[in-house]
Amino acid sequence: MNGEKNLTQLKIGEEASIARIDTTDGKILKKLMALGVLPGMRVSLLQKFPSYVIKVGNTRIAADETIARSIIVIKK
Amino acid sequence: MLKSELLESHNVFKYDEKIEKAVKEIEKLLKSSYNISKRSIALLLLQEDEEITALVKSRETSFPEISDIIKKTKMLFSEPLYYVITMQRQKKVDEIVSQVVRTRNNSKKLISNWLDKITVQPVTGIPILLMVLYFGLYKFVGEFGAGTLVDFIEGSIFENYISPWVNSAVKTYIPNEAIQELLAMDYGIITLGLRYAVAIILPIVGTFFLMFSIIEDSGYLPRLALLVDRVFKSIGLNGRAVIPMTLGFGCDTMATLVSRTLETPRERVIATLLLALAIPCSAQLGVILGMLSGMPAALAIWASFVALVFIFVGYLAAQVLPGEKPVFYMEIPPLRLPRIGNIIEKTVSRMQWYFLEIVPIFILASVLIWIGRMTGIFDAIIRLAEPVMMALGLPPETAEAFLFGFFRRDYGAAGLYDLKKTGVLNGVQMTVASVTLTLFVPCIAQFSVMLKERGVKTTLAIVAFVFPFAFLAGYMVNLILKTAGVVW
Repeated sequence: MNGEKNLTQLKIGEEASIARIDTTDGKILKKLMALGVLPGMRVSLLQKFPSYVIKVGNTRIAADETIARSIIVIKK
Repeated sequence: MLKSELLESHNVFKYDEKIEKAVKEIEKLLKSSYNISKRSIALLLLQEDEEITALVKSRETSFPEISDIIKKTKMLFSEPLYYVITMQRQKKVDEIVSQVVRTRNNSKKLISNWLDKITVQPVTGIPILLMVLYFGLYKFVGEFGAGTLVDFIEGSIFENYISPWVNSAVKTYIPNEAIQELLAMDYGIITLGLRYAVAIILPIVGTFFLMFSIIEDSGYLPRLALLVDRVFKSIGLNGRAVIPMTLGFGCDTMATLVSRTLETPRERVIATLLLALAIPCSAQLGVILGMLSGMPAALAIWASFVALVFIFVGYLAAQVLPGEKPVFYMEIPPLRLPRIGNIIEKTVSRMQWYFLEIVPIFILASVLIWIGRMTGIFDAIIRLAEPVMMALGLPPETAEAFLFGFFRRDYGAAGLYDLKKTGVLNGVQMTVASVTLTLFVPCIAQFSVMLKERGVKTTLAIVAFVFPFAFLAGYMVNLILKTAGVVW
């Protein structure tokens, strides 16, 4: 779909909407959803190094490259 | 919306028709009784919860039909049912929240936002981490716990009052010399076992657990996890493993138990290996810090060599062990000021656990040492070990400390401390002995937890690796220091 990016392609401080979680690993999907990383939620990227730090709702989440890549967002 | 309105039965939350239909059908097929409602069971089955699926499979004869319903329902959606159900629930949550919750920007949060930020960025986060280690571990546990407190309880109370009193009481009332030795004198249950437990180990683990509880409750550990994730990936672990690893600096036995929280078996094995090999427990750490504190260079060599071994062996293990690569994700809670009540409660319960676990083993160790000495087995082992000590450039007396080190890691370190006080060891020898003893086998307690958690095969493989490796490493340190012409 047009305008889709994964989280690692955002710039620090940028905000976007989560479009979907792109992973074949069911465990990762479940964990992310339990943390509140759900399609439709607004997400902002706070930091890229040494780990990715994102903010979804009032929750801040640290994640590695693999996870960050699996979060597909649409910039609005 | 009013609270009473939300609770009214006609307002009960419903998923879409397809899900509700499946739930109804499954509910009808569930004949056995469960701790939670049949609706919840049905929903968990649809979401393929492993535990519940196994439970229902073992209890219901109609399980194949239930499976069928789940399969058919799955076909109706393009996404996994777990996802569908969560999304529908989330939609309802958003609907309720948007009606009753208002958010505003709070300017009072400036300082905490600033703190939140500087602890997770490497440029500021790593110096903060080093400061936490220096003040928390070195100053508080090392100098205050292992120095000031131990000197007071050991030096003033035990050596001046308790030990002489016990020794003379035993001599007066117990005629049998062997029994005298079992209870008192140099290696007795009271004068060695209890003295080590109460006077040396207790103050050290006490100060460690106090500091660990403060760090834990402040919300700092997840930040530490995200800072070290990249480094930990290279040793086959993920940032999350920082929690058992840090706890290992308190007590490796407790940390080995905690390593079960790691997600994959591969990570658990690597963590157990590294805890057994390269993470000194607080008692060991305290004694070693105390012993080497007068010599910053020796301390630096010891610390960097052990850190190197940690990375090197972890890296090798990650290459050798099969299994999936770990992934890292973790919620970062806001930094909070810890509550004193919670800190005290945690520290006390951890010390209690430690004390209940340790005192019996200390007593057992004293008894085993007594038997070993009485029967001459120990002398034989020590004589056998003496050439190994000589190869490491160490005086033969250290063999005893190493042998006792198996009964308790910290026992061995405390034995070395005694040798230093009497002036038997020079600086180079202390460095070599500290490195070898740090890497050397886990104590009896850790060994038994390893057996329970990881099984016989893995534990024996770990021990078979650790044992020769520790002495080889000690040999190498001695060789390097000798070649460099170091004289301390």
